[in-house]
Amino acid sequence: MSGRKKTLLKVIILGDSGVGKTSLMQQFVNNKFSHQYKATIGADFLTKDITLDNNKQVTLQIWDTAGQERFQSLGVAFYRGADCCVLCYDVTNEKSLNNLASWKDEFLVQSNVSNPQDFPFIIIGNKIDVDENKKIPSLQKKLANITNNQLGGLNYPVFETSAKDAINVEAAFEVVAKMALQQEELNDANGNDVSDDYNDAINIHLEGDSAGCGC
Amino acid sequence: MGKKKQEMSQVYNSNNEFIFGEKGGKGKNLSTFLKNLSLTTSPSQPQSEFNEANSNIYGSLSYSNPNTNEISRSNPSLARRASPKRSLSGPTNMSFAHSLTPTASEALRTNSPTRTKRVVSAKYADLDDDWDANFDDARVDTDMPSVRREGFGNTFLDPSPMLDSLYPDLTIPAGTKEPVKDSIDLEDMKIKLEINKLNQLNTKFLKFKALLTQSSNINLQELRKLSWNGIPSNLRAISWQILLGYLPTNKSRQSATLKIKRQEYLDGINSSSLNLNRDKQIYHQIKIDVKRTNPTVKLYGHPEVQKSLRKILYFWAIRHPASGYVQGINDLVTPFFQIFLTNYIWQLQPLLNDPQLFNYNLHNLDPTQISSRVLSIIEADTYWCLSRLLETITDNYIHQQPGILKQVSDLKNLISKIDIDLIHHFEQENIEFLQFAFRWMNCLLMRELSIDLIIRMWDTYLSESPLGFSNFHIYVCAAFLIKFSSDLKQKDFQEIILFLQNPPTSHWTDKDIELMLSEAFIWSSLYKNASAHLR
Repeated sequence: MSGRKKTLLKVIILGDSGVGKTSLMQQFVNNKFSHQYKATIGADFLTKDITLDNNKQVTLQIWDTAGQERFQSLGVAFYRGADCCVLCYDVTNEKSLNNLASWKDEFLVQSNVSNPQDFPFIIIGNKIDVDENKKIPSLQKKLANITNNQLGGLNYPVFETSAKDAINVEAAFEVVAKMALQQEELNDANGNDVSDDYNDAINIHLEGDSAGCGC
Repeated sequence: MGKKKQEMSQVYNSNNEFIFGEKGGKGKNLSTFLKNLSLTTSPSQPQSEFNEANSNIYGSLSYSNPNTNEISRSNPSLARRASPKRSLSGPTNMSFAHSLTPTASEALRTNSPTRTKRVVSAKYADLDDDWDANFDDARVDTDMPSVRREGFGNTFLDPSPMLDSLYPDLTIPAGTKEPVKDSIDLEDMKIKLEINKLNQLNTKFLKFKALLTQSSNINLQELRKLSWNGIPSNLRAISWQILLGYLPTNKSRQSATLKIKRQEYLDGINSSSLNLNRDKQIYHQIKIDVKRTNPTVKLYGHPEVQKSLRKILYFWAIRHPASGYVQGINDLVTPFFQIFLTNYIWQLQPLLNDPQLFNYNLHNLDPTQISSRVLSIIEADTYWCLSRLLETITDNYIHQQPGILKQVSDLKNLISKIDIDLIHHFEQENIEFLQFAFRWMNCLLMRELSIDLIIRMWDTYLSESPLGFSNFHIYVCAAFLIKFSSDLKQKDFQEIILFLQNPPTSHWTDKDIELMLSEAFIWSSLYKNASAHLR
């Protein structure tokens, strides 16, 4: 199944308005930063081909979504078939951190993924380039609190990045790609309903077989 | 109460200075001028002052001194700036100075008795019921054809300082032909072509002028008909305001209406207070979005302009709680704001002997030179016109955005009538219309087309009845999509989305837009009554 064709991985970036989702994506895809991005409307789309450790070629198809709550009803059109979801907050904006759980819930409701318990999420705290005194006080504690209590106690990978100074962006998206690939292979396996040649790389219990499409 | 006031002034970072600014403009000439117009005089009588200002800003600020021509004509540096070569580049730098130059007696005659006393200096008179300006210089029209045949160089290449870029013939009063000063090759085909173009524009201008001035009640039907094909830049502000129903067609009511509306805006701005939780969030959203509104255009980087936009958007949001502020409305406000702002600047040009004024455009204009009071008038007009526009698409911004969802589905149905192959290809590639057309509806194609093209497009939208932002826009979107149909059919999912994210329109001109509008019109005529596509 692998190596048959270029593997397409669909990634969704979510988070409050102004946390730097577009900047993260632009930094990752085009290696640039600008102060001149307009507010995202609906969702923007970018792609990047990368090679993973095991020499596997994948194409990331990234949807950079709008942060304003009003657009959330759009999710269905953009979230479906996602292989990984990136939850972003701004390390200087506590509210954006507190909203992570609701972004996650919203995503799960609208994407209709087959394995909500184990769906790969990754958390990115952006803007670490700003002055220390502007950052959320006792951030680590609060973040731990949120992941434990609101994000189901799961150990989602957490990255602190600066889209502006290109810190950790590449590393974060590499993990995104790996997680997305796992999810994709899982979906593939279930979707095709053939005896898969993957061992239980991901330990899940599927509720049903309706992998992916919930339309 | 006091606390609320304090909060407001924090919000707007001001001490009510946007009402009756004492400081006025910083620029020497500008502030002199504004003082002369009593826009920035002592704050002791704010009310009357404001009323006066109200009626003046967009009215024709006409000369009362016929010698003004001479002043500017004697300034050779101005002459060079206004030479046709430079001005042919586009409509953004035009003035129709000479055509608006009445004699002193004309100015007085046109003024109502109560207004005449506001001729504040020998140099300026401001007319009140005066959207119609003083287009009294009809003589030049009849003069034109022969001039063109015999030797247009005389007229067109005359480096008269106030030479109007697009309407040169209008700028030369009859009988004042000056000797040829430049030895420019008269056979230059390029110039001839340009001149033909200018003449066409001039004909259009004259039609608008006649329509807007010749009757005490402007014929709205006729204005719609003319405007559908594009409005001359320097008459756009007034035309848009009439088409939107903001400015009454009855000229005797225009001035009073503007006064009331502008005052209402100011009163509203002053009394609106922050409802802490929800409104704070709205204000935060507006603040971060205004910062990234047209970030590449210098004008929108100025703190004064950003403050104005914040006020307009915030005031609209709290007055429309069902939708509140939705991202993208910050784009929709900009055409109005810049049209009204440039309109104001254009009207200053003939009045000030300030060579700098000729060079102002959206990229170098310093808004700190505009008095806060004038800015508040521009804001008020922008606010009301934006409100009118949004009234026609309220469903686009309320919870769940049903208006947009319907528009997108209408678009898809329409395309299936026009180009079923494209629909099939999209289906095969798993393209959903919402993935690319949502933004087309939410921002009215403002993210896909340059602002100049959008402004031209809005001439037509505003001429549609009902306004074209809801229904006609779907047909325009269809024409837009079909334009790329054959390209799109060669592409896969990824390529299609990437293409439509960034459609190749940077080289588009008004011609492309007009073609697209015509196609949209044809389809709207074809399918309007066949409601099947609106299932």
